[in-house]
Amino acid sequence: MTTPTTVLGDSIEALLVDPRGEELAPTVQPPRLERVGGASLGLLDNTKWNAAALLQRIAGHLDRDRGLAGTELYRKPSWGQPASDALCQKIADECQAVITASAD
Amino acid sequence: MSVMHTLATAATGDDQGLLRAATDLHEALYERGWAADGLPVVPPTRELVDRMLAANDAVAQQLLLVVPPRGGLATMEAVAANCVMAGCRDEYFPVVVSALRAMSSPPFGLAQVQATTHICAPLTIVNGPIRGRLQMNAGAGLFGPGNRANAAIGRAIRLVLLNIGGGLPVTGDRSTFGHPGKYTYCIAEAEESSPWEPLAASRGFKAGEDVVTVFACEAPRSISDHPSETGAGILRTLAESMADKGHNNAYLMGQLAIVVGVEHARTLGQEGWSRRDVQEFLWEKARLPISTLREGGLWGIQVWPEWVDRHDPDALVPMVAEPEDLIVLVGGGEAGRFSALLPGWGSNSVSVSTPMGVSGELACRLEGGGRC
Repeated sequence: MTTPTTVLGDSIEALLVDPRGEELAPTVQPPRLERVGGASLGLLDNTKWNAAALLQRIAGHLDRDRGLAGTELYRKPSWGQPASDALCQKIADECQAVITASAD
Repeated sequence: MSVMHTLATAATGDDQGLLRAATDLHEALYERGWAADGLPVVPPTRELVDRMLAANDAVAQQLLLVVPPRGGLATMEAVAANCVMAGCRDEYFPVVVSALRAMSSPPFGLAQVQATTHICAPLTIVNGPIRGRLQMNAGAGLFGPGNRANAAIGRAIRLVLLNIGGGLPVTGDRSTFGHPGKYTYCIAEAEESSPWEPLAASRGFKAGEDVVTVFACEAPRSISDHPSETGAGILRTLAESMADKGHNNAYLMGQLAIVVGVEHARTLGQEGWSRRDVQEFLWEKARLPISTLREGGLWGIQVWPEWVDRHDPDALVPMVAEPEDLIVLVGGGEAGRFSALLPGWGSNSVSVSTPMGVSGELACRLEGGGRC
């Protein structure tokens, strides 16, 4: 049996329309922290059952190992909705980094 | 001469070669991942895609929406390619475009619908004369196979969500179980069998207008009520079936759809029940006590109206916040005293209706970084 690529060759490229479309340019990531120690850390709870517990556990480990300046817990309106621009700005104003988590 | 024939004769020069090339082409499309739902697709040839765009006066590079989670740019051309692959005739294109436009409305929450662990899938409901022009099925076997328009339109929408949106299981779609409606999930309302105005008219559109409604919901669950000879009897059965702490509505509210079977609708119509009467009755009767709701389900995250006293174990909680959150339409075969329940995803996604058309206010062009 002949393999598809052998029979069809490269000519298929010109004859078919790619159904996947182009992709948006990836979102630019904000600058990473050079060091966690001494940073004020935001924790963004997505409202799922154990998200806050997981975030606080992570923050506890980071504080014990690296020493945080402080932590602040924030909450999305629900897991199915994005954080509002106002909430994102508040976190940016009050923290140097933020962690979010989802945990059923 | 078709592209397929050109390919085949170029490769082999005989009819046996034509069949072999067709088979090979299917395999090639699988290899590319374009047959993303796992079924064979029609090759999206430039010829067929251009013909569909021309037939609908669509501009190839016009951006319809950005499809999450991949962030794929659903241009008219890319959407048409998926329509061709799904088996759509040219005239199905406006329905697919309109459904996608409705899904791009923020209240629908497409990113969340695509990625959630929940079982919901977007259902497309078609109202208006276009149902007849496309020979869509609103009757027997409503949610099943056998009708090209229903099947191909629903499949084209899914292929867009898979191919452009990257909503593939595990990587882009975390649904625990998936959904049979993630192959195709498109119906027409049986307006001619309904005692009420069309669903779209109840949502502010003119009667006789072609409208597409999208709603993220579970698979239909059949509700039997054979002996009841009154509308109230039928509705009590429906209400008792709706009051179920296993679906998201019980905790997250949102919306829930009821496809009233034709026989049930006839009984309700003969007794003078309006759509609003049905909504109010079901909203009043389909309730569960806090004492039941707090033992399982989604207890711990309740999106309930303020008036629900969540500390009172005997307090009764409706399945949706308001009667109008029950989406009531008519469909299915002439025979059978059944209706169907389609629980929603909850308050995270709201159904959206949009007038049929290739152009529309939610559409935008590929300018400014491709964002609408």
